[in-house]
Amino acid sequence: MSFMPVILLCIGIFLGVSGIIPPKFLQGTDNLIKGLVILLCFVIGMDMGKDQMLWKNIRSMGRRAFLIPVISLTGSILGGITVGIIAGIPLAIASAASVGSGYYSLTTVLLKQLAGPEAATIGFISNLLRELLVMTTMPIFVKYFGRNGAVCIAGATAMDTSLPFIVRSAGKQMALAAFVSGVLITVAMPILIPLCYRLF
Amino acid sequence: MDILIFMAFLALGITMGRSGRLPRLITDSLDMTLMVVIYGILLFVGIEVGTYRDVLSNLGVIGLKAVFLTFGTILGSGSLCLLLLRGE
Repeated sequence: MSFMPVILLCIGIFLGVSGIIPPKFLQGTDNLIKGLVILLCFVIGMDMGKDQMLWKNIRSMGRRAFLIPVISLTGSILGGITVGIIAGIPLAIASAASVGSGYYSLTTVLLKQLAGPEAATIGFISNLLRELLVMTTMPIFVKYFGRNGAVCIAGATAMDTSLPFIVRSAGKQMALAAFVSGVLITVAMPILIPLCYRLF
Repeated sequence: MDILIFMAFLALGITMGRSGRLPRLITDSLDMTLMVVIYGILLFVGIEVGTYRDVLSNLGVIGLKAVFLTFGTILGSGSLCLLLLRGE
């Protein structure tokens, strides 16, 4: 994890604010982003599909393979909705941003399409912060929520950016569960974010 | 409607990946492509957000709501797991 995502977003915001981008180009950014998301989904699919070990691992883990990601997603939605009620965030946005599970890129772009730039900004900041917290405070999560709890908190990031931190704090035996949980949450993301937005 | 297209491409990608017929050139460059696409999306979303002045002028309030959401999701997922998977 580098600062690249934040830097790029800031460069983009600066370009948008400065007004140096021709209005004609701005009209096309929506479709350009949509095209990139389609490409993103396609590449994520190929990346997962090619990993033969992954599919064997999911089968060998049985029920537990699905239990952790389902609990992680449900807990995130419940937590997000509770905060939404307290902080006055529309529940559709609160639930959709929460189910993003630290996967800030896809959450941001889906929320922008579903609910506009304000929702996208909430989605970006909340999910990026979740990823950063997972990477920096994993030992505390393991201590208070247990090894499975730490994987649940890591959400989608458990498969890549936070995997090394999970292994270091929760032990090698959690690596497989973390990876599979992250993968399943990531695959479900394009379906769950719009679903939560429409449901709540 | 868009979401059906996204799902269709995700499914297509998984099917193509699982078929094992993708050329090495493609499978070896997937990580790199993923990174470039994500960075591209962030840049363009940034440009769009930048053109919405009212979002930027409220960034403090929006940011605070986002921070609350982060803690809500962390506490929610961690606590629910503690509750349901205590013995495992």
